[in-house]
Amino acid sequence: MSRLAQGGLIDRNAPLTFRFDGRTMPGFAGDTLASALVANGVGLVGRSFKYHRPRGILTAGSEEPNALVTLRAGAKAEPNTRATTAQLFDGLEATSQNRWPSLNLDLLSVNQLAAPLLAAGFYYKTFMWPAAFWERVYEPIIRRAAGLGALSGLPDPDVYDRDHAFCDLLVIGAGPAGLAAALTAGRAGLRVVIADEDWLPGGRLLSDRRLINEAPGHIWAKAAADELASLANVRWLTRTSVFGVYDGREYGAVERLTDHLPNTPARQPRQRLWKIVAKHALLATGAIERPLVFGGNDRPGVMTASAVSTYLNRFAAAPGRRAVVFTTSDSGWDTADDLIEAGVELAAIVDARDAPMNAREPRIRAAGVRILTGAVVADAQGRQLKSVDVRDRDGRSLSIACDLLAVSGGWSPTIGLASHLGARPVWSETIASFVIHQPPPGMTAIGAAAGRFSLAKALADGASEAARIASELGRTATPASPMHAYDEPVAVRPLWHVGAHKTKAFVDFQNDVTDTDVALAAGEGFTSVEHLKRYTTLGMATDQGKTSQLNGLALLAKATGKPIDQAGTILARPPHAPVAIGVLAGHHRDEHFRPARRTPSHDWAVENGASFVDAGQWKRAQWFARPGERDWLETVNREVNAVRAGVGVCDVSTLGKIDVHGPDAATLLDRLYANQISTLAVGKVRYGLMLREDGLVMDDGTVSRLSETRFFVTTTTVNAAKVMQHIDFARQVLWPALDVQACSVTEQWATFAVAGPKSRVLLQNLTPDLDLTNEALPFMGVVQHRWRGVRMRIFRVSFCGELAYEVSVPATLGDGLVRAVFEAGADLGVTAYGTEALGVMRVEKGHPAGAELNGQTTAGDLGLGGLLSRKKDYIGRVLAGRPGLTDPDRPTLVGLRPVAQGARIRAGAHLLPLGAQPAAANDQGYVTSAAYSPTLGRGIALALLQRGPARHGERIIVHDPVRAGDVEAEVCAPVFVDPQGGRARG
Amino acid sequence: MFDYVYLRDNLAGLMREHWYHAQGCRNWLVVTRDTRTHEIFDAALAKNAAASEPKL
Repeated sequence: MSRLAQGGLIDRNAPLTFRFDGRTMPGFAGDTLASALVANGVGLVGRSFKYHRPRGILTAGSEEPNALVTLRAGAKAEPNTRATTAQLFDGLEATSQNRWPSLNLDLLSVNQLAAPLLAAGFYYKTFMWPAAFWERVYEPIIRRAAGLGALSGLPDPDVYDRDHAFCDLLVIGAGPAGLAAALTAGRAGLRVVIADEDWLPGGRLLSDRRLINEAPGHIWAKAAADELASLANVRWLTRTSVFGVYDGREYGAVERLTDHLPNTPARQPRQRLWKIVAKHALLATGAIERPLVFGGNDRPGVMTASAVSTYLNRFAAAPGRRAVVFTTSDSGWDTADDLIEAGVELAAIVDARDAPMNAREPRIRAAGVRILTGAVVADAQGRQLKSVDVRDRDGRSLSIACDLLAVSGGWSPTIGLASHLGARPVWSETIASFVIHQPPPGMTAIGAAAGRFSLAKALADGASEAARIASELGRTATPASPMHAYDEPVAVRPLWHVGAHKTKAFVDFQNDVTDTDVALAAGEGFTSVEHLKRYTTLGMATDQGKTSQLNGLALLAKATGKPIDQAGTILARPPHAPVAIGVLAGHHRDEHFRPARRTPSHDWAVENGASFVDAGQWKRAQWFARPGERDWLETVNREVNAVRAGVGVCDVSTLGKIDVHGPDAATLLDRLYANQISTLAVGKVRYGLMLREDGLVMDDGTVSRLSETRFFVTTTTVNAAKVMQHIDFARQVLWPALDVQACSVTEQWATFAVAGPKSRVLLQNLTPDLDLTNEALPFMGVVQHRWRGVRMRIFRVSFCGELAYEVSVPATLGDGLVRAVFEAGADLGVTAYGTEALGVMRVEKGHPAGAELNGQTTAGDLGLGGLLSRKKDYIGRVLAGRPGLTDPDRPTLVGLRPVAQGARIRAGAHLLPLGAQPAAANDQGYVTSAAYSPTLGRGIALALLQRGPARHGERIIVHDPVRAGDVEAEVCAPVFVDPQGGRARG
Repeated sequence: MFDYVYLRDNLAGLMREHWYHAQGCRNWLVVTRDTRTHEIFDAALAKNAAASEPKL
């Protein structure tokens, strides 16, 4: 046990137990998993990414690169959890990662022997030959041997929430600067959101022993948090990481709601995604201490000095029994003082600076600690740290036994968020790190995040920036109660590298990137920081280089002989902290990922055994199989025959429907459609063809004139939204002077095709008081009617070629209508048919549909050239006349009949002249749609064939090398059934 | 006509663009945006903006 007898912000009255790799250990409420491991003397917690080197805990915060564990088990397992941020709960179960068979005996550490092969860029070099080996041999082996934790592979059992917040001021970080700012702004009445990733307020105040107003900093932090919690205008988000900054002063954050509980209460969200829009934001994210680069600097027992202080002061856990401090900054001396205070034996303090002046020195010297200035630690020894090799100011080497080495390489402001919109960090010689000069609009860095490291400055910074923002927003900031703190020294002289060392010196612990990797990359020409990152992987993965970036950059600068500020920096990108995909998805998963649109007759179709097919978001009935039918083709043939011989019903509500209304409606439609609409009589329906500006066909449908000023147009199912947008563009952008409105009514109307020779009889049964004779409602006519007291529209249009109607009622009555239609047609043998039978019948009739309206066809290609009006202007007219689009050699719509009765043509096959070699030069077109026609008892197809209309009767080869081979077919007119169209008019 | 259909200016700087509020009110907007910073300087209903000459 290395738990200190007293002190710390843990609750010694709330003992907990947890398991790590199967071993049960005690801890206290208020511990992190990392601090509990430290208190139990566990030094080895993981294996490194590439070399499987034993690793310990390096830090005490969210920047941790080493101590990644898998938390929980089964479907709730979360790999790559940082032990340093996981709050301990009773029964917590964690396992180490990337080791086999066990953490202590990891056979994959033989990778260390292969280290020469795994140097920078090994992916691109060592395993390149022979090429065929890459996918099958090298990559799987590398992937198994190198890596982080594994996913459970099970569906995530948790639920996730999302919420929005709007505020005057977002304070990111609840350390001294953030709390001072939130207090000042909150008292001034601003709407404040303050977010911190920790569960306790105070930030660094929880880790050191500094005083505010003569009391420990964490006491002040608690009082500040209590006051903020009492203010109605302040929202306090604990366990919340702000991970991204976006346009429009928008911030993304994740609040962890139940990760600290043994079990998520049923239906409680595990995490919540916040979208926060803030007029102003204060970046009070503090700073991260840098490790130092020396031999063996990754051994368990080497820890950042600030982390040592955190474990001692906040968690009352001693990470070692005999310590050495290796520092280049004043904060290492604070940790030395903390070690002495905690009663840990401090063997030596090694400061690389020649003559550090520190107020703590007399006290440390008085404690009998050896002070070595101008000295460095060259190597750390032992699988778990046993001793350090120190090189003193005269170059002499001495070994000092220790099991803990606290390292401090100075502090880097945590400014990643400030770079998310592209702001470049600027080098500051004073603090030997990057700071942000031009943060995103509305954002200001304060305190340590701004490179002002002393506590007194952090407090003053927070208060004054918040007061400035308050006055900018027209509020008066009452001066916060005085916050007195010592303005301690924070001097640093960077030491990017210790010089000669014997063992591997790591720059990026998480990615196993060493000092020699950086030098090698630079030597091979990867001298830009962005190249360095990709080539060596420095700064990648879960920690995104929070502890390694600057050290790597400095070594690159050294290798290329440039000053650091000219070596460039990596711009941080969102997310600043790892974010679970689940919380981003939120409720949008499984069937909620993409909403399904159901037709008005959906329930009825389910009752009648429909199989459904996706048409965009719609679920459409594809066919209605009956018991005893062998396959779908038998079902579809029955449905087609029923329509051609009797009467069938199909839900066509998915077709886009648009109401166009206004004195200029006819004018607008004339400009939108290639054919003339304004001449359409009231009560009549016309086929309409719409072109794009480039002259190609955009969509087709029907246009019905309900009154002089009111039209009802339909679109294909897939193009409904596109056509609506197109009409809006024409109305609002092109011709805003036209007095016309347009509105989508697709979802307001349920529409059923009632088709077949007996359809009139059926409809007459349904609407006995309506005159349905050919004279009263001729082909291409429309009547409005009232059926059971509601509006009904009956369009006499036919997609299948038979006598047919489309009957519409308000959508909510669609279910009632389809049931009534089937009652009215019971004696007639009315048959439900689906999209497949609909498709077969339209191929039989040669109507172009999605496969022909493919964005590459002209009106002429589809045999609709005659529709192009010469009497008016319309969208697409000019470019439809281009030579390329009027070339007579263009593939044009034809029908195909296989010569052999039973042969089958498939869509996508290409067309060749008889006897021609299958070569691209001989390609004369392709099959767009194919079907088995039960009406003709044979396969048929529609195709686009060069000079097609002139070639009816000719035989060609349908070339289909990938699927079925070649079929000989006869070219014919594209209308296979009732070419004169008499049936529809009857 | 070819220019009108196929050619678009792609400025690094202030640009007037047509935006469509597809999930909402279905209005076309003329948005003046700095393509380098995504900063929006002006947004007007296209039916009003079309009448006035481009300001840039």
